[in-house]
Amino acid sequence: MMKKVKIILGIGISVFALLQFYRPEIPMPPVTKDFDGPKEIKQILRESCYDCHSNETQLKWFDQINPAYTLVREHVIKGRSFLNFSHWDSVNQNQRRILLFDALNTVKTFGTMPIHEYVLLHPRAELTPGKIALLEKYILSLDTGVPYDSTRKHITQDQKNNESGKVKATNAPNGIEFIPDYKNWRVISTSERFDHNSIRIIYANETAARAIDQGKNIPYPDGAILAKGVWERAADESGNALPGKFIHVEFMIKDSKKYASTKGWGWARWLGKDLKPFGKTKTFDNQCISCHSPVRKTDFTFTMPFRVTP
Amino acid sequence: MEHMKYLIISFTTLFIGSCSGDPKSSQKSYMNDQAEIAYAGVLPFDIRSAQLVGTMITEDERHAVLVWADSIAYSARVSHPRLTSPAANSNWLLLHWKQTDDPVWIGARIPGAYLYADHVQYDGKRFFYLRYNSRGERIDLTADEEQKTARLFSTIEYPDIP
Repeated sequence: MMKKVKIILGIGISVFALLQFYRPEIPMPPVTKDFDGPKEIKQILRESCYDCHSNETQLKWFDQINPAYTLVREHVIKGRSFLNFSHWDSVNQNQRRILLFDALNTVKTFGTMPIHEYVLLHPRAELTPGKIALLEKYILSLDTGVPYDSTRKHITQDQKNNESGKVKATNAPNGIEFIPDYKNWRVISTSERFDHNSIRIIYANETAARAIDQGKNIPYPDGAILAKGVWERAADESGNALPGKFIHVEFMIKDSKKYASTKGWGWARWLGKDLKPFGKTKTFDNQCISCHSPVRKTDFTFTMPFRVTP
Repeated sequence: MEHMKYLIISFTTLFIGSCSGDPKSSQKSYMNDQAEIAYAGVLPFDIRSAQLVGTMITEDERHAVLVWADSIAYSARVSHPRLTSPAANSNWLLLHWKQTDDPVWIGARIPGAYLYADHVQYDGKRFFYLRYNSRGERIDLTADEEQKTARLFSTIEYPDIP
């Protein structure tokens, strides 16, 4: 028995020792432009975010030991692809605002950042309620209000164009067909996204609407479809916000068997008035799922519909 | 041994009892309760089957406004781009909610408390304005309120939608 234990231990130690020779590089490109917000905000970001979301990653001694090193490397590469404070010049003002709001939501709304295991090993990275409040105050101050859009005067001309030429949209890369009838469905909510400077209208097909009427929309039944139209926010002369330029329309189609691998939903989006399908390959919907995963408890839906009761 | 037997029976019963049940009863509701349009039966037409023709967020009071048209008003929209060039006997409903912060996303505002529905009617010559409060009670508008609703209504346009 003791001999078996010794053999297993020996193999384990050998594998562990061999793993230390597997050390793909963690790229450290130069900082082109660092985040340029207020000093206290930058300090918080440095302590809690910069290791994975900048080119100034600082590895502790325990980060250098495999398998931890491989995991850390993956997190750093992935983290930088979503948000990199060292390339702040590669994004414009609008994009910076969107990235910061997205980050704030992962921290405060969903509590998924900073990663729990990271904070356990790097206690200074913990975002206390005080630090979160400071971040929130700063990021909310980035809302620049609704831009006045004098081109809204030409919307009526666009409407005429809409009626005369119906665009034929091609299928999404995952095979989902465009559903032109969505604009005739029941409206179940609206949203003003001041982080993205957009206005959204959310529609539900008959099956989804029935589930809402019955108060049984978690989960939505198979056959339910939700559509969301997104427009730029534009102001009129009085400062009221109205839908401006059309940005895109996206769909969630419920079929728990057909779409089992994508959380029971088929995901698709079409961009612009030309209705160009979003996504390069059929796995583009991983992006949709990544954003909707924090709301898995509400069947991956953010929208809280309002009911209409006689 | 007897005690063991009864212990096993009770645990088994408890286990089966906790596992059984209609799976549908685990379905839950995820609604914006404060935005519910109660007493919708008093409104001149059913917005559940009507066509949405506009939306706006008012700058002064931060109201989320959604505008629905009945079939006559909507058909006329096709030939008249602006809502204010309608056919006779057209009806619209402008529903107002107080905006509130979206609880699941910092950076978004959604309809909060449902406030009232303004009914706009066109008889072929002039517009009439009425209000239904959140309890479904009909309210006559003051001259100022009518003017405000008329101004809002004239600003609404059909969204640019393919």
